[in-house]
Amino acid sequence: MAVVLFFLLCAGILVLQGSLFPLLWPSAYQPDPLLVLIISLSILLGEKRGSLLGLAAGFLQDILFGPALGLFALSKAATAYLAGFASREIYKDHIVGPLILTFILTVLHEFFLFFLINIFFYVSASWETFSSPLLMKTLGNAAFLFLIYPPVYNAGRRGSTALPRDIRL
Amino acid sequence: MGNNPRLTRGKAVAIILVILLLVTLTALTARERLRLTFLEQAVITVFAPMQNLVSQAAGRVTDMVDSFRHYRQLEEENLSLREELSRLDILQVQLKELRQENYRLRELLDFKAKTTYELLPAEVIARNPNQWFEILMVDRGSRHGVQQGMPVVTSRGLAGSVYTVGPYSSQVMLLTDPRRGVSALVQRSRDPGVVGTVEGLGGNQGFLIMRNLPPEANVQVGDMVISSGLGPLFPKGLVLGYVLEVGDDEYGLLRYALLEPAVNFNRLEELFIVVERVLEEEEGEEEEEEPAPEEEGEGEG
Repeated sequence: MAVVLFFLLCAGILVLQGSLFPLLWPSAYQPDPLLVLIISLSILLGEKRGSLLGLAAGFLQDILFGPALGLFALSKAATAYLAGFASREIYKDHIVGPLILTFILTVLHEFFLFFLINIFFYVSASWETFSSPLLMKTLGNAAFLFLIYPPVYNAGRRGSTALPRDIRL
Repeated sequence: MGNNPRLTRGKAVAIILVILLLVTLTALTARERLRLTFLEQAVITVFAPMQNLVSQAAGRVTDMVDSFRHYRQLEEENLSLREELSRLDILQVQLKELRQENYRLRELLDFKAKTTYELLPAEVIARNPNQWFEILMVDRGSRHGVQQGMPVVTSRGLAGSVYTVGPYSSQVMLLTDPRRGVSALVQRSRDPGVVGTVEGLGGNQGFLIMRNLPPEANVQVGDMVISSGLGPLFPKGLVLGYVLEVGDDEYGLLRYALLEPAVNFNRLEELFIVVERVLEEEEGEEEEEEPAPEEEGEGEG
């Protein structure tokens, strides 16, 4: 049930990211709610489960929009691992900690992508292309954290089937 | 659990293996692939109708908002388009005459029949939400006759080519994708030396750049740049863009031209996939003898 719900959520977010978001923002400045969901879940579930969810969500993104299988899976899994790892040091019951983590991890996620693209695609992805939309993207993701983190956190508190019981807050 | 060194080592090995597997998978699939895996095809087939639904709904809402916001501008545009249409009607008649004359002259010179294109209309249902790759999804796939590598155009010019094909949808790599290069020439000068590669600048900057122009190249601001037909993907004569600026490259040996793309890549909604066909093969000798001014699409010049 939890897995089905997770995939449905990822599917819904990806459909919106592919269809609605291009009408609202240029591609460089689009926020990444899928990444925010992965970060939120990893903060609550820890690095192991978080990175597995990141891997699955990234793989789905690769299939739908990716130029190669594994690119987003790698970057999302790595980001989720770091989110889970860093979650030990933050207060999960207040949004400030996850917010700061989202800022940092959005930058790291984009850097992972920038690094992987330069390695695998023989494209001279410029530093300017990487850095100039970063602030807008980070702010967008932070805004989405206010929409995504509280319901995910509450689902964990209620011991919902969406989150495993052993991590109930 | 965390104190057990064997488990920790096992965990580290598992992580390294997963990373290696993903890196290998990325390296293997980074090139253009002829076929998608069954899993990819299944996922894309399931997602395509959902994308289509959301895309159409969102498109309608934004169209409505846009038409309210730009009502006055639309009215003026409508008027100028009507004027343009009347001028084009006259031009079309002249074009028909010229095509017939061209056909007769070609026959006299014993030229082979020209290649003509069949256009398959397609709607954009999703766009890659990422600045690094300019890929979009259209609602036509292998079941509609789409094949990998087919050029994709709009009424204004070349938009890109088919990147991967699913049964009912396909991915199109746009001209602005940094991995896409098109062999091109400046239409006015037609100097055989004036052939460059038009590449996207990446980062959604909206311009194209024509590189590798020789120093003596005859290029001016406003010149139209078309595909040269030298590459394996794109036929000759498709409009790529218009020259905005000409300059020397970083080493001063060659020149470059900055182009404004003919196609507005930010507002792509409908596209045409070019299905190439040769008249000679499909219609035979007898049909070739008659002038064919009503042919679909444009002929190779």
